[in-house]
Amino acid sequence: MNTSGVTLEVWEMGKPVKVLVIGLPRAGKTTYLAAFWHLLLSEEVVDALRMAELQPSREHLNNITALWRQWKKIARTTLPKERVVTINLRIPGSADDYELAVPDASGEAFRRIFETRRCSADFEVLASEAEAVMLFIHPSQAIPPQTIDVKVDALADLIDSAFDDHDATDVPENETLGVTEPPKQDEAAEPEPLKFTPKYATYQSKLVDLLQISRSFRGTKPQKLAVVISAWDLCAVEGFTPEKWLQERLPLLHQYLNTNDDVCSFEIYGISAQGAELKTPGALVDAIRASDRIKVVHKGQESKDLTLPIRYVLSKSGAFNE
Amino acid sequence: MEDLSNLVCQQPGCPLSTSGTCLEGLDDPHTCPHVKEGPKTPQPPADDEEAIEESAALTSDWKPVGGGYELTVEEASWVTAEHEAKVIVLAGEPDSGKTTLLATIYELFSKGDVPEYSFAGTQTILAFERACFPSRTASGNQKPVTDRTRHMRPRFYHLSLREAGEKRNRKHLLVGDISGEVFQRASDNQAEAEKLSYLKRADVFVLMLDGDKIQSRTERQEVVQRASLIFRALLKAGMLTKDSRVQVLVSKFDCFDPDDANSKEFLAYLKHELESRYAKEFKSYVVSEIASRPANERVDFAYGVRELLKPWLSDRELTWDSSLPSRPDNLVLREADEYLWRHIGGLGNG
Repeated sequence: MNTSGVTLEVWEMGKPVKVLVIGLPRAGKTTYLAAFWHLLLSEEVVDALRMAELQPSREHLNNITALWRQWKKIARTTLPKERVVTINLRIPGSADDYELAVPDASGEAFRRIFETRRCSADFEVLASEAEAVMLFIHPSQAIPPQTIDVKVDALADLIDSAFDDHDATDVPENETLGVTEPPKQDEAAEPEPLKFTPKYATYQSKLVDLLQISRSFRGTKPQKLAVVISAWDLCAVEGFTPEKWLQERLPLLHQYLNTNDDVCSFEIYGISAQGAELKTPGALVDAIRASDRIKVVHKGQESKDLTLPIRYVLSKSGAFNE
Repeated sequence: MEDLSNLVCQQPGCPLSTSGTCLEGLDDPHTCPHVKEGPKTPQPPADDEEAIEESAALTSDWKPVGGGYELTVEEASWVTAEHEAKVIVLAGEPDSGKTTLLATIYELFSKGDVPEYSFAGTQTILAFERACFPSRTASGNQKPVTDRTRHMRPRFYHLSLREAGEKRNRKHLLVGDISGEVFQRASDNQAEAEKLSYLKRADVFVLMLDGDKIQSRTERQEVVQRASLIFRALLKAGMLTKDSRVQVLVSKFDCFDPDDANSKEFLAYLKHELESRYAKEFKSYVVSEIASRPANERVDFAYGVRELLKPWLSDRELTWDSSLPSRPDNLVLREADEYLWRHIGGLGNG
């Protein structure tokens, strides 16, 4: 089948396709799901995946999508509210339907998996059964750790000592009165250094390890991975493609993906599902179609088709013929 | 290794709370008579109150995943059983820079600064992160430091790597970070040297010598004699043999003042002394210089560190050419060299 230059073979029919959605808190998972549901309902984007038939349980999706349409903040998914969203999908022009099971997983759950080195039985089952994985990354969290620069430190010491020499020539007023001054701010005891705990690990190490953990349950069975860099509008100023952005900002993760592509093929997408800051939507709030605020960047092409990552992970070959 | 954060050791100086390792060298600190089980470490504050209240109940029945810290000998043996892996043992006096070297290797991969290899995974991600943390501003330290390794049993850091140009094959590297005290004991007491049987499995035995001490007029004689004693003790114990590949690493090379001719002369003397006495005892022997985290501008960050990986990961004789650029750029030549080695040397790298 060829739609929009995309060749797609779907998994065998009649079997629900499970997608494991991984992301730390505030990675944009729920916003993506809300906008995705809007696209399915509105059919505003030609050639995007279509809803085959309404599933019985829709309340959660309707609630988060209503907030998305109104430019309101969507509450983050917390542990007890985690749920599996089931959606019946159809590829445009095809009569084949399939059931997509996507857990609207709490980022909090993934943070706890990494930090406590424990996971729920549900996660283990899903990680072992999921043919596909979506990894959500938020650019605002991809900040490289700052190494203590001893050269800057030495320069600071030099400057400090210059000021100390200067101060030494001045006799403090209180000293003449025999009053002991409290230590100045910079002379006060240095704060106790922090002891390492897993929460201080770098963002990219956490993401790599979450992929490693989920992979460990999957074994050698192949899997497909869509990497979604959310809030892509924030990255626009950098002028990178999503692939290049990942290589520059999260090099360890980028290497991990490339070195494991024999068991887990992947594609990288830059996606802005929200469009802009909620408080400053600018001209986007005037959009006639709600989907006009969506931006999807993949392999040098820009579209509004938020279903592309899901189409990719559901495709058998994973090859996009462009 | 499992989460031991709720264990409290009452023995002064025990690093259990900082490094997760028992001063008595017990693999399972629960069995140590000095250790008491305290309440579980409070969870880091969650971002919303609801999550805080419910998280404890929700995660109490969760199943353990890989610990993420250093591997024990047994855990490391699972890696060697499953994959072709190279085992490197880092030995040396306390504070000679063993953990800093490991932290720097991980930092290089984290920045994508190792063109010859790509990171393919690790079972010890938290151990690497913990080794790196004290040198990051987030730690609150004023100067970059590295927590010392104190455990008496070997602990291994793991890296899975893929060589540039390779499509599938991964190479596994297990680097044993052994407490400096272990080798101090081995040089003091032959019975201690005979306990170090895991050295026999090492593909490369690395003896790290503290460059800062070598350039110190008062400490350098002790360094060379201790190194010599360690070699003698391990040879006598049969832990190092004619089949051993041995590398002497002079760490903290940034400490050497290029204008200090006497230090240069001493370094040359040290190299000659060790080489003339021990090189013939081993299958291969090489001296290299590194500055994992230089404290001045004399050398670049990670000076000499990238160059360690290729010899560690291959079966070829150890070589070292300090004239090599820190970041070699002639990839074609290196691949050709690798090809020739595999086919002429007949030693596949797996």
